[in-house]
Amino acid sequence: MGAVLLALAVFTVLFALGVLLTRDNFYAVVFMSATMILIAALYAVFQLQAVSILMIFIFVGAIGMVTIVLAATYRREAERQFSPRWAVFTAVAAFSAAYYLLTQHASQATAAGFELTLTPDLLLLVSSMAALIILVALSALRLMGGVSS
Amino acid sequence: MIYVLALVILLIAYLTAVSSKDLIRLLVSLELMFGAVFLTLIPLFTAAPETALGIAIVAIFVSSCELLILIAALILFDREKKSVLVDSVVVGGEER
Repeated sequence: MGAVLLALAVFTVLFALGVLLTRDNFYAVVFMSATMILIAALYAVFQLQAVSILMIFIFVGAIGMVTIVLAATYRREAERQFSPRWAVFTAVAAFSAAYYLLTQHASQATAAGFELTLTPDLLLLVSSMAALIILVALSALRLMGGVSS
Repeated sequence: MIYVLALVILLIAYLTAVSSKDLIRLLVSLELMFGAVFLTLIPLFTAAPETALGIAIVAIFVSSCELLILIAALILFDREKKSVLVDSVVVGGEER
């Protein structure tokens, strides 16, 4: 289990770095979707399949696809979007924070898995949230003039 | 390890955001930041699984709503300015 977690973590970071280092926005979105799938896979490793499926459906299936279409529509000349000066600050912050977290043993989560049950309250919550997202999508369409009143 | 992973992804997303030259890349970096935030929810499932599931559901749906609005705003911005470059974003009254 530990090896699977480590492998997933390494690939997640590599794909996230792909978002940063690629020149083309289209590939940046593809890398971002792959990162989200791997994050959802981490949830699945911890036996949280409900959250994992929800994340894949919404962040890759809906938002990811819309962003891919957007990136393909506004495709322009690829150029490097990487700031070396900020990279130095980020690297220093990453090392210091990671050192602190690793020495403090902040995370006590194990890969033993969790027992989750979808209670009626949670189902109601999911339905309400789905209604919210439909409402927001319709409002966004109205804002852009896609729906006539 | 989960916290460190979330931190690394968050910092990569921050670096992408400050380096981005167009709004599409900015949107992608924001989605990456949300991914990092979702990772930090995993340890919460050990303490209170049902509460954590509720928080995760609300966070996933609300962040996707926010991204939808941002996508709509991006399209409207392009209609207005005929560009999605970060340089074309100005504050109220500023001339470029």
